[in-house]
Amino acid sequence: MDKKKIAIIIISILALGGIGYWAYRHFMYKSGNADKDNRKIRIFRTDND
Amino acid sequence: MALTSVNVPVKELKSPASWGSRAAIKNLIGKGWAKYGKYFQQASQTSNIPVEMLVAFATVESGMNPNAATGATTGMMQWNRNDGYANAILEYELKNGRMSEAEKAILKRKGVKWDVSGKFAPITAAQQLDPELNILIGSIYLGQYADSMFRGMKESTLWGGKDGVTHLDRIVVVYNTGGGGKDGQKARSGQYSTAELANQVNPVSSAYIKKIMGVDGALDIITKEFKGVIE
Repeated sequence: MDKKKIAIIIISILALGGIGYWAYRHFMYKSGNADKDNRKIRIFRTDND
Repeated sequence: MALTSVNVPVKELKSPASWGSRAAIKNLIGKGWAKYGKYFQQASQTSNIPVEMLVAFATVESGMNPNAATGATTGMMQWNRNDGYANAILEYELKNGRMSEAEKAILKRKGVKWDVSGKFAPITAAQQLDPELNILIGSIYLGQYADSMFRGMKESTLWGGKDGVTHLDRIVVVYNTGGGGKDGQKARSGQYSTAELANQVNPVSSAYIKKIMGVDGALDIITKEFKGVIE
């Protein structure tokens, strides 16, 4: 395998990694925001007072 | 809307008598609420954490005293400004898109600074003593834990709550220990019931669960003695 092919493979892996990281951050952002906005915690008494 | 519940008091658990009588705890809560209730209500609105929970944590942590101090662990909610968690918690909140404009406005008004990359300047001792800011940052910790977030990542065990239940006992242990040690890992495993967790963790965290969730504990008192007031 010549150096050019190796360089293309490395660049491709890095590019895919970058896209994957962006997607991960993007969806984590959405998920974190949605969790906080949609959470509703209610406190009840066990004796139903 | 994901509705989850906390049921208190947990009848198998009793708040330690050494913490104070029911009347004494009620008195602490009443005085603290009269002075700082507006800050708890504000933080409850911005974090979506029930105001009763915020008041319960402040009662156990500081006795509702904004000047309570143990080194860098200071203020109403007793988080530590020097262990890196407080800054990290704010950075996670901002970078994950969870921080509301209202929270940003309060932080700015209190002189908390962050740069364009989302890195926060260290919180100062004076800022930490401000009850409004201290409660706000405490509520951000609790909000992340309620969403099973640990060090900025949502964990697959969903230890903070799922299937209609908020696991306050686990949130207490993570808040109290920082969450990375043996007891924090037990809490985050999501494997133990409230009573099991209270029996297995270190004595301080065990007592903390009982003070928050047990009979004569903070939430028992708040939901009964302050019904219609703190809610």
